[in-house]
Formats: sequence, C-alpha cells, structure tokens
Amino acid sequence: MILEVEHLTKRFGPRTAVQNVNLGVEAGEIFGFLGPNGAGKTTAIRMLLGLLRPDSGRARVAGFDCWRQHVQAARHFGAVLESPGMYPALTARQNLRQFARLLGGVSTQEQTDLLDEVGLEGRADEPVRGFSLGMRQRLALAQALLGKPQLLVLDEPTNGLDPLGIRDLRELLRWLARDQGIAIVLSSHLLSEVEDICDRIAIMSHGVVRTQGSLLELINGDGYRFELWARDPARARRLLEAIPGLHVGDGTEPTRLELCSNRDVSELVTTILVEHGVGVRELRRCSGNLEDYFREVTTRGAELVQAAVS
Amino acid sequence: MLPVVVWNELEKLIRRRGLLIVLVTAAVIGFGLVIDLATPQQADWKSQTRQQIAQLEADKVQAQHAPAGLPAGIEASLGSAIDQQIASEQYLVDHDVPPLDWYPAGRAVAIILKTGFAFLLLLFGWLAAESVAQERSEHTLALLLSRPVSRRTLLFGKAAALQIVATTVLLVAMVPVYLVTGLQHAGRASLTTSVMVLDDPVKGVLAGNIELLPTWFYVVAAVALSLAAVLVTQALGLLMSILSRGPALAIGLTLGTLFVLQPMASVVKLALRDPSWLHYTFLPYLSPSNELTSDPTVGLGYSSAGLSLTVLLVWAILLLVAAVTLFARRNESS
Repeated sequence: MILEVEHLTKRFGPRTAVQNVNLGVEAGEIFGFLGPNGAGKTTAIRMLLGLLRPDSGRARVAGFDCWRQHVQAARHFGAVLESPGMYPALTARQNLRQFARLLGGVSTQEQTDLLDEVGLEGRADEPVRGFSLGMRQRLALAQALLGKPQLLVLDEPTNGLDPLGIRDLRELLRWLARDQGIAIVLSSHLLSEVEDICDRIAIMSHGVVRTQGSLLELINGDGYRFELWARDPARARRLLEAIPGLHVGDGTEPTRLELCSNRDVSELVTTILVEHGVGVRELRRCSGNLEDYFREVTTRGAELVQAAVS
Repeated sequence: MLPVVVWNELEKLIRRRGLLIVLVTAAVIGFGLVIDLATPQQADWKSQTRQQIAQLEADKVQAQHAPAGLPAGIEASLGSAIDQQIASEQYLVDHDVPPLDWYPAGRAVAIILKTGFAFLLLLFGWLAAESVAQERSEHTLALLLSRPVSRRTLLFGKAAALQIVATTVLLVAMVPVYLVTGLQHAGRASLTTSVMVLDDPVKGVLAGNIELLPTWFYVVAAVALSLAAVLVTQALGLLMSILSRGPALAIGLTLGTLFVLQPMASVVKLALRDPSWLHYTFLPYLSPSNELTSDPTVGLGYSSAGLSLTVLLVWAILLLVAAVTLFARRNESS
C-alpha cells in the first residue's frame, strides 16, 4: 500500500471539513476521488500533501506520515493542485528546474524529456506569464512527475485542457499506472473521465467518504445484468427460466430479454441456448452508470446530513 | 538543502525584481554622488576649527558678562560645557585629527546612510513582505510546500537570499561613492586613510577615548550595522508576509510599520523625554547614521554601536522565530 489514510479528520472552527476518512491505494492503481463542490476532497488532498495539519488521524505515503515526516513522505509523491501555480517571470524550463533542485538528482535531460512528454518542448524557454491555463496545467504535471514519484496526486488535472489534451493526459496516466507502477489519486468533477480510467473510486459528500470500492462493483451492486437478443425470444425465455437464481424480464424490443442474476451466467446461458438450437444474436453485459450512482450516493449523503441537523 | 533553497530564491528574486533592485541601487548611488560632488570639502579644516574655538571662547565671555545674569548653577554648567567643547576642538587641532566628514570613508558612509539608506530599507522591507504572500497568491506556495523541504528551511532560505541581495546592494551602493569621494578630495592616497572614532561618544573627544580605525574596518562596521537594521526590516516583512493572504496587505503593513512607527518613536522620544523603554525597541536604531556619522567630529562610538547592534539583532531573532513558528504551523488551505 503506497498511500494509507486512517481516520483523517480536519475541522475549520465549528465546521468539520473532513471526517474520519479511511483510504488505501496500491502501486499501479488509479484511484478516483469524487464528490460535489465543498465535499472535502481538496481539504483531504491538502492533508495528504502536508499542506494542512490533520486534527486527528493520519495519512502515510510509503510509510511516512505526511505531516510529521513531510520531507521523507514528499520524496515519494508528486502533485498537481487545483490551481496550477507557476512562477510567471521564469520560463517553463526554469520553473521545472526550481522544483528539480529541491528533489535533487534529476538531470537536465530528464527535465527536458518531461517537458517533451507533456507537449511543451516548443515553449520550454518562454516565460510562463504568457502560458494558457492548459499549458500551465501541463507544466504542473511535468513538475509532479519529477524524480519518478511512487504516488501521483492530481486535483482537477484536466482544468483548462482541450479535448486532445484530456485524451493525452488519460493515455499518459494509464501508461504511468500500468507500465511504471505509479499509484494515482485523481480528484475530478468529470465523471466520464473517472469512469474511463479509474480502477477504484471513493465518493465524498459533506466531509465523509460515503462509499468506496471497485468501479464495477459499486455501480453494478452485487448483481449482474445482461441483455439478450435471441432469434426465438419466447423459447429462450422458457429455457432460461429453468436456471436457478436467474430472473428473466422483457426488454424494450420484442427480440430482447433482460437477465438478472447474482452471478456471472453468461457462459451458462450461451451453452443452454446453443444446445437447444436457439440462435443467439447478441448477449451483452450491462454496466451501471456512474453519474446515476454518484447522484444517488451524494443525495443520500445530503439526506443523512439533513436528518442529523433536524 | 538550505543552499539549494537560497539559490532558488535568488533566481526568483532576481528575475522578478532584478530591474527594481538595480534601479533603486543606481538611484541611491547617483543621489549619493550628486550630494557628495555638490558638498564642498573642508580643505582647511584646522583654521575652521580654530575659528570655532575662538567663537566658543567669545560665547563663554559673553555668557559671563551677561547684564541680567544667569542663575549660578546654569551659568556654571554652561561654562563647563563650553570648556569641554573647546578642549575637544583644541585636541583635534593639536593632534592633527580631522573631523569625520573629511575622511573619504566617513563621507561616503554618511552620504549613503543619511540619504539613500532609507530607500534601501523600504526596498528590502517590500521584497521580504511579498516573498511568502506573493507565492501564496500565485498558488506556488502550496506546490513548494508539497516538495521534500521543511518549512523552516524554506523560510530561512528566503531570509538568507534577501540578506545576500541586501549585502550586495549595500556594498555596491557604498563602494562607488567611497571611491569617487576619496579620489575627488585627496587623490589615491586618501583611499587608504584611517577614520577617527570614539570609544564612547558620550565622553566626547578626549585623550584615551579616540581610536583611529583602518578604513576597511569602518566600512565593515557601517555595513554590519546597516545589515542588522535591514535584517530587522526583513524579519518584520517576512512575518507580515506569513500572516497576510496577499502581497499588497503584507507590503502595506510592513511599510506602514516603518513609515509610521519610526516618526512616532521620535515624537515619543521628545514628548516623554527619551524614555528608557524606547531604547529596547528597534525603532530608534533602524537608521544607524547616528552611531556612524554623528556631527561633526564624533564617529562611531563603540558603546553606542554595540547597543544598537545588540538591540537590532535581538529583535531580528525574535521576529524570525515568530515568523518560523507561525509558518511551520500554518494551514495552507486553498
């Protein structure tokens, strides 16, 4: 476990911004951190980065406490924050060199390679004051990747990026996690982005992690849903209804059936239908929708808070 | 890690404020040279001093024969003061010791400290005040603090970089004025002269209370006292910078303290007849010209300079400790 968060809590006066958060992220995993505005995501991330002191609980990166052993912990992570700050009077290369010096042991060639990797090779020697938000975001990402960190913490990394930039970032993150074994914590408002690349997610609302787990598990619950297009739907229904634990319902089209089960029955369904000579045009597993799930969780969170208040 | 942070801070400082620093330094040098070239040198200081002695003796006689007559106590103390001043001036003439502003180093230091130093002090206060607050407003502070460097090292790095710039600027401002002053008034030989100072400025110019210091030592003493004043200003600026969200507020608070409290200290000094507690604040010592250039023959008083240096350093340390403590504990929320 490269990142371990235990009972992390932060209060600002009477308001509890983050309450009893527990998380763990493994090497090579992309972990999505979701929540509406003001949910406490940025506060939690700032505690991971040693910018805020937790009131209780702790966050550890590579075994080092993020607040008490900040210098050691910070050697293992890189971060892109919500508003990417860079020194406007310095060029992109000089900005990168500033942060590289603090890490030590990052060669000039590595810095140049990083600038190439994020697509700033042609603008490396221009002052950052003339950069767009997207270019600053790319530079911030290069800065975060200095020194090959084990953990990458990205708070809204697609802010200001154009569609091509978002696609490039997504591919880069997949490559970093899969091929380089870097753990990535990604906080984003873009659910499609999270759905597309994250292995696991946590959803925060009102300072509390309402749910966390693998994306597929969370949005599909415990069950499996399939859509079946058969040549003879009536006969297919009769055959499949004999399978224990499988519920067969009508689809929206005459040739379509909806199948629900608490286990993966795709192979069994195909085998039975083929053995009985029922042609199968298509059998497709249906995934849930993250947006619906997100809405459900955050609404439930809001209701809980409302109930607690009243 | 500290040298790395200092190097980073110097790079940022020079690229962001390099032009301003060069312009202010050039203005201080230019201003100093103009004043120096416009001020006539006391070529025949001995005859001038003898004239002063004659005038003092005349004043004494006039006081003794005043028609209305002064109260006995006042008359005696006035006579004694005039006698002491006559003795001092006579001592200088007899021992061939010219007044401080005759020496090139003395003139150069006096010119800088009495004219441009106030601007330099404000410049350094400004730079310190914006150092942390500017990073906070540009969102670079969070990125910097997320890197493997302790907050204490970061703050000391900033303070050290500011002090390096201040030392360089002070030396760059003083040396040309010193060279031009020396060459203008006495040719190359004057560049190696000594500077007359007093052990204790309160005792005045008396045998046993006078030291002839090598020029380099006098300049070093001037730079050290000036830097101690700069250090207090910077520590104050850093503290304001840590407490403020934006650079404008930090700069305003720092310059406000320097602009308002210093004149206020002078008013308090007059109104309360120089209360002793005032000597334990840093305000009377921010301008070290009194210790280094007091008129006209009294140079650096060791005891006076020592008190100034001690008070300034103690305040600098207190302000820096406060700044480090606050910075180390402060939550940097978005």
